[in-house]
Amino acid sequence: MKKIALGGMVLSLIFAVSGCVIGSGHSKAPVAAGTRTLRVLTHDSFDVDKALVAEFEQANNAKVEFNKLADAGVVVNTAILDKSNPIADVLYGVDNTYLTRATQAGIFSTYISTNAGAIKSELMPAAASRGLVTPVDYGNVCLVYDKTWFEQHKVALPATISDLTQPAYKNLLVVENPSTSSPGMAFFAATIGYLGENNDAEYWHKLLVNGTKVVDGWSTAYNTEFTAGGGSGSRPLVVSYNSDPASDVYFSEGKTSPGVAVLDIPGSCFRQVEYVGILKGSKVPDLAQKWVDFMTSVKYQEDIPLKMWVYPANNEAKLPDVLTKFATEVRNVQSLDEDTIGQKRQGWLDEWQKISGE
Amino acid sequence: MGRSGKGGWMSGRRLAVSEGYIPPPTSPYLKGRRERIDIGRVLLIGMVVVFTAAWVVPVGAIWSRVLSVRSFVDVIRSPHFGKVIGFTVGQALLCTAICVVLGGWLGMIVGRYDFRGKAIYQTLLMVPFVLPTVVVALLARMIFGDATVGVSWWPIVAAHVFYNVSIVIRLTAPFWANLDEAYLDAARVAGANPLTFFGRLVWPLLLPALGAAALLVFVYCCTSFGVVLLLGGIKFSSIEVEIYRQTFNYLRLDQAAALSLLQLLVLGAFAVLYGWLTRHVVATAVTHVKRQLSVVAALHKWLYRLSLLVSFGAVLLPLLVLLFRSLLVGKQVSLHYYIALFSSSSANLLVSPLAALENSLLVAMGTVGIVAAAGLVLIFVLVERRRQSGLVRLLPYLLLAPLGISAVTLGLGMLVSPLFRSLLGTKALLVLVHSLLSMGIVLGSLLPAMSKLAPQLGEVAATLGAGPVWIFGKIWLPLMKRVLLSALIFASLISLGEFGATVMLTRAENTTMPLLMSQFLGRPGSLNFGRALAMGSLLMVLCLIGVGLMQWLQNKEF
Repeated sequence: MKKIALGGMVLSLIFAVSGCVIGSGHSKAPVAAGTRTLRVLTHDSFDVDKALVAEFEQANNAKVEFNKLADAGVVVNTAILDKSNPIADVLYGVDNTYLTRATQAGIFSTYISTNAGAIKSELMPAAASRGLVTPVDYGNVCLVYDKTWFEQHKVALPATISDLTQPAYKNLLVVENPSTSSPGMAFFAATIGYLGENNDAEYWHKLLVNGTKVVDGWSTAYNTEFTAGGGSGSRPLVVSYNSDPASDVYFSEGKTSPGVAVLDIPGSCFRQVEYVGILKGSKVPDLAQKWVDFMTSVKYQEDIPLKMWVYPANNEAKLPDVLTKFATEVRNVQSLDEDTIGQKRQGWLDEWQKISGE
Repeated sequence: MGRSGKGGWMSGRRLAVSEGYIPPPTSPYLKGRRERIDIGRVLLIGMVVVFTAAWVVPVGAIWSRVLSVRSFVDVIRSPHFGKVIGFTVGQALLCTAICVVLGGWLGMIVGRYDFRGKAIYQTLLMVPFVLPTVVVALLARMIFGDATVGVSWWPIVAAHVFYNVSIVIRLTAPFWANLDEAYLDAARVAGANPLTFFGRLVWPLLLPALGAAALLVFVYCCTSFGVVLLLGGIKFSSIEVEIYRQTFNYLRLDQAAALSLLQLLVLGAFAVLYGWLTRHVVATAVTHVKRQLSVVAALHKWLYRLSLLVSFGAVLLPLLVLLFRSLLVGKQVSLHYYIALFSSSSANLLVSPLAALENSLLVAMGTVGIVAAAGLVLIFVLVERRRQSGLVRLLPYLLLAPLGISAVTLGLGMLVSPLFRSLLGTKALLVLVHSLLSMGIVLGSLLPAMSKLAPQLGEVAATLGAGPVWIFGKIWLPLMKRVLLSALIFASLISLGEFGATVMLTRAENTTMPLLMSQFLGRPGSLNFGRALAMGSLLMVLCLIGVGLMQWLQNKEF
C-alpha cells in the first residue's frame, strides 16, 4: 500500500502543479477598472525599458502586451494571414525589405505619428506605403572587421568589395545566408545595388570560390565564426551592423576602445529601416495612435539605441555617448526604396539559389 | 533503472502466473470488464480527439487558406525540392541505422550490467536534448574544423546521431533488463548457434522496442531544423528548413504548406511501414528471475568498458565546453557572467533571466503533468486490450502525427486560428504545444513496454475479486512505472529545450530560457555572449537535476 500511496502522491503533485500552470495562464494581474489593453505585435529582438512602458500605461490607463514572434518575416506573415481578425493593434518591426509586401496586403490603417515632422525625411516610406507607417529606427548592415587581427597579420584592409575575391582575403569573410537571414539579405542587396544585377552573380561566385563562408544567421556568424566574437572563430571579416564598435565597448569587461571597426567601402552597407503601423480592425485605435506617437517621441527614441543597437529615427533624440564616440555614421550606404525592394526581392532570392547551387 | 540484476518490473512480491490461464467464461469479472471498456474507450477517444484537434485545427487553418493542388504538384516536380527531399530522407535513414546499431549496443550494456556511475551515465545521456544551438555550432567547429562544416554532409549525420542515440538506449535498455535469463539458458542448452540465438530469440523480443525507437529517431532526424540550419551551410537543406525559408523569407506560404503536407505524408508512410513490420508482436510474460551475470568473458568486459567510456566522454564533452566557456572571462576564470546575468544590468530587460527561469520551469512542469495524465490513460485503456485489433488499438498512433508537422507550420497555424486566440501568449498554450511534441516519445516508450505485459496478470487479480482501479494501481502501474517516468524525463527535456514553436507563441512576459538565450546571442559584445553561455549552463544544470531526480524516482522501489 505504501508504494501506491507514494506513487499517488507524486502523481497528484504533478497534476497539482500542472493545474496551477494552466490556471496561471488565464489569470491576469489585477487591473484597475476601465483599463484597456493594447496589443503590440513585434519581433524577437524587440526590447524596451520596463519603466517607459509603465509610464505609458499609467498615463493612458492601459495595459500594453507585447507579442514577440520569431522575426520580421513571421510578424508580417502573421499579420497578413490574420487580416480579418487581427491578432494585435499595432505592428512594430516591419522593415524596408518586407514593407511593400505588408502594405500591399492592406494590413495597415491610415495613420502617421504626430511626431512625423521630427523624423529624418530620408527614412519616410516610398509611395506605396506613405501615410500608413511611421519610421521608428534604422541601422546599417555593414562589413565589420577585427582590428587586432588585421594589425597583427599585417594585412591591408580591402579598399573595394571586389578586393574580397582576391587571394589575399581567402577564407577571411563570413556572411549570412540571404535566404535565411535578414542581414544576409541586406548585404546581398547592397552588392546588387552597387555592382548591378548583371554582374552580381559572377561576383558572388568568385566570393564563394575564394572561401567565403555562408552560415545560417547573424548569431552564428558573429559569435562562432568571427575572430572578435565570443567564440573565437577564424574569420576577421563579418557582415554585421555599424553600431558594433559601440556595443563592443558597452558590452565588454572594461574595454575603453572597440576591438572591431566598420569597413566603410562602397557596396558593403545597406540601410534597414523599421516602421510602426496600426493594424486594420484594431478595437482601440485611439490608444494605438497614442502608442505610435509614444514610440516616435524623443523620450522613447532615446531609449532605443542601448536596447536594440539601432539609431532613432527622430532627429531630436540625443544619441548616448557610447554611440557618438565609437560608432561613426557610414558614408557608403546603399539605399534602395522599399517599392524597388518589394518588386525585386523574389528575383534576388532566385538568383541566390542559383549561385549557391541549391 | 537501477540494479538490473535485481529484477525489473516484478521485484518484491511476485505473482505466480501460469501463462496459459484463461478466466472462466462465466466470471463476474467479464461483466465489470465490459463496463470498464466503455469508460476506457471514452477516455482514450476523448484524449486522441483533443490532441488531434490541437494540431489539425491550426494546421488546417493555414492549409485551407493557401494549399492548392497546383502548389503541391509544383513542389513535387521541382528538381530543387527533389534534392531536398532526397537528402532529408537519405540522411535520416543513415542516422537511424547508426543510432540503432550504436544505441542497441549501448542499451544492451546499460540494461544488462551494473557498473559504477550508471545513474550518472544515464542522466548525462539526456544532455544533448537541451543542448543550446550555440554550443552545437562551437563544438562542430572544434571537432570537424572550419573546412568541413557546411561542406560535407557527415557533420549533420554525426550531430543527429549524437542527439538521438539516447532514445534508442533509453527505449531498449528496459527490454534487456527484463529479458528472461531462462530463455537464454534454454537456447544455450538446446545448442542454438549465435545466429539462431539472435535471430530466433533476441530479435523477435527486441523488435517492438527497437522498432519504436528507430521510427522515432527517423522522425526526429527528418524534421530536425536547428542542426541542418547550423551545419548545412548553403549545400544542404532539409524539408523543415525549406518550409522555414519558403514561409519567412520567400513569403511563399503555398509552397511551405505543400512541403509540410509532403513531410507529413512521407513520415506517415514510414509509420505505416513500421506498423506493418511489427504487426506480429510477441507478447512475453515479464515474470522472470534475472541473475546477476557472473562470469563475463574478459574480452567482452573490455569492449563494454570501452564503449561506455567513449560514449560517456561524448556526452560529457559539450557540457564541459559550455561550462568552461561560461566561466572564461578574457583569459581568467570567473563568475562574472553569472553575476551579470542576475545583476542590475539585466534588470531593465523586458524579461529578467530569473523570470525566464521560472517560466521554463512552470511550462515544463505543466507539460510533464499533461503527459503523465495522457500516459496513465494510455496504460489504463490499452494494457489489457492491445491484442484486440481495430480502432482502439490504432487510435494512439494518431498522437504521433504532431512530430511530423513542422514546428513552423504548427506555430503559424496556432497564431492565426481563432480557436487558439484566447490562449495566445499564455503558458497554457506552450504547455499544450510541448505536450503535443512529447506525445511521440511517450507512445514510443509505453506501447512496446505494454506489449510485453501478460494480460493474464489482470485476469487473475480480477477473478480474485480485484476491481479495475485496484488492478491498474497495484499491477499495471507498478509494472509500467519506470517506463512512464522515462517518458516523463523526455517530455520535460523536450519542453525545457523547445525553441521553434515556442518562439512563435510567446508573449514577452512568458519568455523561456532558450528564448532569452537566443536574445542575448542576438546582440554583439562579449558580455551578451557570456550571459548567453551562463544561461545555457544554468539550463543544463537544471536539466541534470531534473533528470537525476526522476532517475532516482525511477530506481526507487515503491
